[in-house]
Amino acid sequence: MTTLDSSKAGHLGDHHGHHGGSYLTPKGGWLTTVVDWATTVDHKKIGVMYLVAVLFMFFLGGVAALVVRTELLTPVRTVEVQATDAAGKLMVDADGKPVMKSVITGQWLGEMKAKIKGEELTSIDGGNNWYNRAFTLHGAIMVFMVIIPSIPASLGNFLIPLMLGAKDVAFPRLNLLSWYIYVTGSIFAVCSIIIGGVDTGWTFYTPYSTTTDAEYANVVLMVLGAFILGFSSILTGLNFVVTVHKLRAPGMGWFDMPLFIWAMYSTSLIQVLATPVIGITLLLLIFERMFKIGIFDPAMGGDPVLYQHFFWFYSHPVVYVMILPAFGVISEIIPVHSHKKIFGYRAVAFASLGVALVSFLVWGHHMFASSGELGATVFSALTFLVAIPTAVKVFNWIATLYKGSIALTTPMWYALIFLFLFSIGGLTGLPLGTLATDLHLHDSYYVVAHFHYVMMGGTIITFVGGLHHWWPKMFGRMYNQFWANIGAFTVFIGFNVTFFTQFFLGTQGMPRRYASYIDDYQIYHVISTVGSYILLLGFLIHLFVFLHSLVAGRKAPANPWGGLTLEWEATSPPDEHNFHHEPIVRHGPYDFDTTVPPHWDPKDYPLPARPKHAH
Amino acid sequence: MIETLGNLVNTLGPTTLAAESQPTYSWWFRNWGSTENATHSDTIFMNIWWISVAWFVFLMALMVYFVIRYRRRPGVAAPYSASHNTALEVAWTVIPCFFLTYMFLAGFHGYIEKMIAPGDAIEMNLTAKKWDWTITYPNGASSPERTVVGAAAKTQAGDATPGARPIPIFYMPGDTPVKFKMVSQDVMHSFWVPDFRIKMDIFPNRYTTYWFQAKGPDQNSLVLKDSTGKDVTTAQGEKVHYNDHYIFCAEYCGDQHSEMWGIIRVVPRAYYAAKIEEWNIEGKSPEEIGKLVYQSQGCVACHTVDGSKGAAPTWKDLFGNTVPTNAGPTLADENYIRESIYTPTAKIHEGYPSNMPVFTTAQIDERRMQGLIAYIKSISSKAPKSDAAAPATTDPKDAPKK
Repeated sequence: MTTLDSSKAGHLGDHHGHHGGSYLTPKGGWLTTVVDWATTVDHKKIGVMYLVAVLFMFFLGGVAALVVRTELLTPVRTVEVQATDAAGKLMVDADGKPVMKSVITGQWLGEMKAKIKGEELTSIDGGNNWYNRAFTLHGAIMVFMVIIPSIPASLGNFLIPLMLGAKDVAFPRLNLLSWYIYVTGSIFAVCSIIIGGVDTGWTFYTPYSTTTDAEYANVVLMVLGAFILGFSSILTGLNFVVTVHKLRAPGMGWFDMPLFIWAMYSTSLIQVLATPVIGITLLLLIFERMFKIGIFDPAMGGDPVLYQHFFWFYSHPVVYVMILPAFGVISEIIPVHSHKKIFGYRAVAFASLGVALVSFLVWGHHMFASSGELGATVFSALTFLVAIPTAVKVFNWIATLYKGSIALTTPMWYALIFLFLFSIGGLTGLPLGTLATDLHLHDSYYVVAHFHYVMMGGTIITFVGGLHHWWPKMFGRMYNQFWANIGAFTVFIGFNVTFFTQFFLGTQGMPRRYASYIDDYQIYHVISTVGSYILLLGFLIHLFVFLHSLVAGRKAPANPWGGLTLEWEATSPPDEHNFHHEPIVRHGPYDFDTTVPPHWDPKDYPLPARPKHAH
Repeated sequence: MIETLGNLVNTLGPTTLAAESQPTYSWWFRNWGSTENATHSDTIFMNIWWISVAWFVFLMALMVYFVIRYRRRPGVAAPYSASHNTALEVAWTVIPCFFLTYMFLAGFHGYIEKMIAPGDAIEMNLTAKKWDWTITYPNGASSPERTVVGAAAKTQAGDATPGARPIPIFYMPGDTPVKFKMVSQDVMHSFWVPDFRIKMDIFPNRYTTYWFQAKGPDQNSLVLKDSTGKDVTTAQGEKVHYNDHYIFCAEYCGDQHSEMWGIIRVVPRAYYAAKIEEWNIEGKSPEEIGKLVYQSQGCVACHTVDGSKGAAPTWKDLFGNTVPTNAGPTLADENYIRESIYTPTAKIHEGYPSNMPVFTTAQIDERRMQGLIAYIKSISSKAPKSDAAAPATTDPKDAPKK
């Protein structure tokens, strides 16, 4: 592991670092520092602030997930038990026969709610109320506040200017505004939870969402929160598109850009084009609730399917807002840790754009079971079309490993875990695109398992992997790789135990959003819940490793992994203005066979002999 | 045109290896599919599964091999290798297309099968509401039978276990195509019978359809028993066999979405015919009709008749008493009951949420409404038992004002 030895690899970076100071260097006392961060227009600080906010929301959403899993350990049952009197004695009637009463079992949250209210649980009425709120909370937070902003807003903000060799994004103040809008939207959502929560599911399907909790403002607050978050997305996307167009370093053509930039560029296009649709839809939903105008509610002459079309016209492209950045991160991690040029650069870049384009045309596959129209076949065909660029990317990544020099660092482990989980996620999507089988699998646990493999196994796993990849750059500290690897394996095991069982639940007939189920399903639910606790353990190990790194981690060299993209030319952590001199691009982002990585000693990096016919 | 297309891809349908004879089939499905269409759709699923397994194992084997074979060795550079190969890239773009084309066509074929009911299917009306199902048979009857779940569908496996609340049982003829015309009375629901491998959403104010042809019970199927545990027999003295299939609501619809279940009980056609005749309201007394309506229209899901607590006010001793509502105390008389069924939001009983579904005069006609009122009267101590013999003990000032 000579490449990780800071005494050798880092010495070139050190003599750059002594003047100016990194972006993390405090400007004065704690108050000055807080004000400095709160008013900063530095993309790196905004990236870190996004990271903290997203991780906090991830924690909230994770707690909700564990609550859901714990409730699902047991099915809800009404059972007859012998009644007890106030003194706790078993009651009998005049004939000496036991007095029986009905009690509800298996409703952990319902029991907790009853206990708080000082009641006894004798009817299932209202007992699933908290469960329904917990899964809505989990879904809404994880989708709108974690996965959508995770990679673009935190890693994207931090890295895009660095990778392009720029000082900042195109509109730094707008960037800060995006963060504040994100926080405002999240506060609306948290307020909605505090005043009682929302039980609509994260999709807010009408007419349920326009009629539930009619006397309370919870739903309006939550929907308003999502509406506000949309603006954060749009502004960030706009900022990135302009930055990529205008701020590339001298010498960097479009096809000299790192693939992470290509992925972020495609993502930003979707964000700018699709988010306004959900904005309008959510606004209509609020109007429908407050002023009863009758767009979606059939009781007032509206059409509930119209809502689904509007909702998925945004929310399907957004699936690619979630996964494309992950593709970008993987396209960085694999070449860097294999010291190998990415296979099929242009194919990967165009696949990103292709996926972004086709993603606008497949929303209907969320509605195969809605009315059984022939139009579903068109959406089915288009859905299979999306599978091709996605599959091509996986082939490219695996081909990149061929004849590489593969170091099993924590980021690389995460990339391999991604390939494993994402392949399962992609392949299990095929029966969902197939019309005949989807009619069975739609809205079942099979779908739940599938999208967790894609969204969590794809995006969250990559987010954590990317965090390990760029952590030394962001905070200037290394972390304990042994324990980080242990964390990665624990997450991997926990993830599969939790979610693979859910495929079987789905095909066997378990619908999603159920607090109860028939007995046959219980064993799967128990295994799944145990898996979710293992997942928790894995993430706690990561949290500990990161905190330990911040406090006691050894100083990171400028280029610990030997990357060739421009961010590795900056010091770790980067200076306030990123680079001392405007960088000039002299090599491609993945030319590992012809370039010694910046800050590395050529003695540690013997370039391979090139065959004569190669140019 | 659709049928022509269907025939065209028919050849791509079931492959030579039947689904249930494949290894791992039992991981995915608990039974072999209870309709022809279900078996076909499982075959498609298993074909996709094996294609996926092959690709996955191939890709992961390559990945693991490369990671081991080309692991980093200090001081040794990665050898030069090409980073682009047009032939290879075209190949791995085109080859998956063949597999995807198969999936699309097979899926399309199966979809047409599942969506288009044969012309001779028996039509029934299905209404969904929070959180119950009602099916109206061609003769206008509805099923009053219910069971506490766990029990009924669990019988195939053995012991009964108690469920959360009673759910309806719908008797359906075996080996006969049946088509439901479905509509919701409140929010969206979705009708899913996992054994039939198909679900369809149900909307308010719009009809959707659902059809199936369940395989009839055979000698290995369960034997129907009455409430005392004795075998039910036909007029010819034969035992009645049946198969049960769960119904689950698959579109989130609120608090008791998780308990919005039902059972499709497939019985021989003759027994089905006899059963729906038994539930026909013709020739029944108002009270009997009311009780049938109470059970078949799903009132039983929320309203109890023994005074215990439910999701809605109990009917025990309702009639003739004053109830607290948001419009002030109201006497529960015939008009109050009528109004509460046809216009539930007019007066809302205090302490209960406003989630009583609206019923139309088509669902509960005048005869059934009078039956319901008679039934509610019959379980109230304050109501006159009949016009002829009002109980002498009733204090005249407590009597309901007409």
